Amino acid sequence: MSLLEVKDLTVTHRGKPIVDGVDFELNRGESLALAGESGCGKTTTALALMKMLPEGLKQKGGIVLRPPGVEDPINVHRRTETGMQVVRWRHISLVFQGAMNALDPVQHIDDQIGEVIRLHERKVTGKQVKARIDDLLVTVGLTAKLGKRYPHQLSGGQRQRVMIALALACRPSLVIADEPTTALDVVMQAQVLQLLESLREELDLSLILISHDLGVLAETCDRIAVMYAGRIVEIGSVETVFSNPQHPYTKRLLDSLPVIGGRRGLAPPIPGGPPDPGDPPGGCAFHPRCPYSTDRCLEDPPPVEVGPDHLAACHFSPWSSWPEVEPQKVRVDA
Amino acid sequence: MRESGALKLLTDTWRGRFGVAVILVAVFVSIFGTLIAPYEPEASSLDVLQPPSLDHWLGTTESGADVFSQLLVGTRVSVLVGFAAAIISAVLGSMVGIASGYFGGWTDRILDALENWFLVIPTLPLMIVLARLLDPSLIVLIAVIGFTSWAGTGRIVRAQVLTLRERSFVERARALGAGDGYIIRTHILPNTLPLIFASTVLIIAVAILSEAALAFLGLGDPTRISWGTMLQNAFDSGAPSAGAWWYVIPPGLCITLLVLAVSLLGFLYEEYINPRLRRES
Amino acid sequence: MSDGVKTTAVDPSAGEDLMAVEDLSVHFRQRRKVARALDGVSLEWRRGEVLGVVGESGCGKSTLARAMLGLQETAGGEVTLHGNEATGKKGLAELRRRIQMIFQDPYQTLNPRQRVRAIVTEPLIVQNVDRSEHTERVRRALGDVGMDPDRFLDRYPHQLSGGQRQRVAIAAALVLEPEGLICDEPVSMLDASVRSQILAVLLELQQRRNLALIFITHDLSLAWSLCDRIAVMYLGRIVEQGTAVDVIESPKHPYTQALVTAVPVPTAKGREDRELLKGELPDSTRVPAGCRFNPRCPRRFEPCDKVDPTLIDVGTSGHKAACLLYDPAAAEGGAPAPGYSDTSGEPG
Repeated sequence: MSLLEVKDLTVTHRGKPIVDGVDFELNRGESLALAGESGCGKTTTALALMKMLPEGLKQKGGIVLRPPGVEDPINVHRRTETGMQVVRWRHISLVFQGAMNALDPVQHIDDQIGEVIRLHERKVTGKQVKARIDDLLVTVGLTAKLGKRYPHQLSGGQRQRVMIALALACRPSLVIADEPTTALDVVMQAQVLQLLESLREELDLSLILISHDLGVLAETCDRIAVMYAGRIVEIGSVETVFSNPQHPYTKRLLDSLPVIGGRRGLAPPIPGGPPDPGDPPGGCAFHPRCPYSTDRCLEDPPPVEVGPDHLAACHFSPWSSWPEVEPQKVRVDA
Repeated sequence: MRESGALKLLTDTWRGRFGVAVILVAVFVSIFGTLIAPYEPEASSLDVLQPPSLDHWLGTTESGADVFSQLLVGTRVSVLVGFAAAIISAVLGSMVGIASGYFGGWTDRILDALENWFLVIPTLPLMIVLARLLDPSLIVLIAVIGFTSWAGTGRIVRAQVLTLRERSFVERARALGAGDGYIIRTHILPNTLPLIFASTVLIIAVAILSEAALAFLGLGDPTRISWGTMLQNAFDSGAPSAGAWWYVIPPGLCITLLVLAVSLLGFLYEEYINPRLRRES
Repeated sequence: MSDGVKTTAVDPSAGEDLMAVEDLSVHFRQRRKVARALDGVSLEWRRGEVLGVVGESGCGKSTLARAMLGLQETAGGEVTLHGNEATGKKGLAELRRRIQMIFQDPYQTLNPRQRVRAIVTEPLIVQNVDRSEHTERVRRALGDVGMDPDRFLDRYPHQLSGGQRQRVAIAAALVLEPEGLICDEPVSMLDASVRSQILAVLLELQQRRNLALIFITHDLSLAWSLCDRIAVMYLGRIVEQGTAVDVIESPKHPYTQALVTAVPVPTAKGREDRELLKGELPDSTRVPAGCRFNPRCPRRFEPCDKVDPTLIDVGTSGHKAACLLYDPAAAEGGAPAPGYSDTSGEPG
């Protein structure tokens, strides 16, 4: 049984779909990458999983969570706001993008972690809380001493570790990390990613990692879902998707990525820009930017099974080979 | 696109409509007041402190002059002092604010100290002292009010300039070899103007009140009628205790209405340039 | 004067220098401490060359760019353009006509109250270019970055996407037809597909116009794929430089080695065996004695906290590194190497 099951998740803003029929499953201890450019709906999808969408956005579709040790599955999509408050942090928690904004600048680190624990577990004693805080700080590679500091006294990397400690405070089974390393330098980024990976093994966590950086995702995740204009256009194991992409968008994205030690120089870039959220072109949303598009692409492509546990939403999948793309002068078409 | 948004705020909210209406009337009256006034405003007559009648809509003063005519003519001083003093204050405030924010260092320290000084000393006593020292006249009034009310604008402008200075378009202009004057003209000033405008509108209100206060204390221009001098005359002649409400309430109400209208527009504009203040209507 | 300034060509086969900095230092005063943001940096930037300056934030790479453009007061050293000192009124004027810069944040880089037309025309006004040329040159610059002038000239920045803004910024930098363009993290805030478009625009210009580029970036893979040469900075100093292939494929300095291994690789399960650097970049008010990297260095040995290494040849075609592992003489002699003798204020 999977830990999380998402069925036909749709998020609309004034009737326009920001996320448009997303399906996926996540097993225990597994990590899923949500990749895509800004506005593709990856963060919205994550927030919808916790029912934390900003005002004005409406969500639809099934979200079922089966945390270990809980008998009945939790039907997130049927829960009320009060019902969700029990689920948030206890079962699903979130590592935010900007650690500086997510931490209260006038509270000690350990008070902020303690607050989260007390909010969800009424019966713990002060001693237990203190022990757990120290434990958490050590788990994320900090020292217990740092708990007595304020956020501004920590470096960017340390703050991001505190954010992870906060997310782990109530021992959730699923952690969603939204661009957890975007603001960090390479070395710090590698440290934080390594930490996330070791925690996942140690605590049997499931992880949803959101990033626009395919390199980061490739290193940390088991499976990857590539999103474009509110839909998953390709999903599969990281190995297969990276070595054998089956959607032109994934293919072009991977090609345009500079790889250290790989081929030098630039591959022909994808022309144009991502479509406005909620207002994608009809049919396959990628067709105006796709070098291989034909009239058939004006119809909606259904996800096709192109291999074991590997789906791609392209009329021409599976691709046995990729025709060479003419380098063209890059103009702004948007 | 943005411009129509500002207009919408003016025409679609009651605050906007009220503010615009009152100010339009005030400006009209201040220009044509002398022409519409039914009587010579300072002509005395034997009908002393008469209540409102068909001949004198708002009654008469202690010297038998027509209150309504005085009210109309007095509008000019209030409006003139309000706008002129606010303009002086805006020019001073933005010059000081830009200089101190843009150049930093010692310029900033000195100007900032000056600004703080003007911010903390109570303005009204300072105005009274200044107005006493100088011969009371319209120009003196405008200058005194203008010179004592710029510090707030300076503060706001300085803060804005400090953040603008760090923006990369300013750095880019500098990398191009643009001089300070050019950068201030094309990059700093246009991005500060909305703020200067917003704080100036609010200063108009303060200036109108200050003029009334000074005039009420007898420090106004003795040769001109204003709402403040009307109030002063009314109190000097014991009009309130004589029950001559028609002599006291109209100028008081006019001051209140005009200040309210100007303030409302100022707040509306602040909300417009800073949408975070906007509440859902 | 200019004779003494001529830098020794690293590689005899290499082209002529467009710009060179020699022993450049920038200090920031922070209360009682002195932050040595740049601490004796020497670097050549050749005509038509794509040079990468990489390092973590706080390593001084942006300060270097600003100092090269005369936007930053220096505490010592020289900046030259075509072998002539780029200081003083004349030197700076020359510099500002020939070298341009673009910045990281596409949302900060354009004045929100100027239309595209005014933004791109601005350099021509500032540099007193004849009015009759303005329209033509502005249109050409926009065309060069792939924007249709008729559609974009009258737009405001808030009507443009991030990628379009960065294109406008590039057009504004190109309108003076500079010889060199310094790009400070030009694409780090853009999405992948837009990012490669902007890079393609820059590279096309580089090839067509022989425009020299400096890419200041923390992204090693980007530097790898685009640059001819790379300089790696750590705490205000260049610790390794050479051709992109040399620096990335056979890094010599332990810091470069650590940086290269830290880069995530977009092939499934890249480097399982990676050894990560511990700790963080110290702040530049507290530069460690000896080799500034020694407290974090996995390969430090006895003299590292005493001897400050200089850049020495570690390979062919100008591959240099500042590490005692390759400089046994300095490691044994224990004498601070010439040119780097510490003259600046007490650290810490």
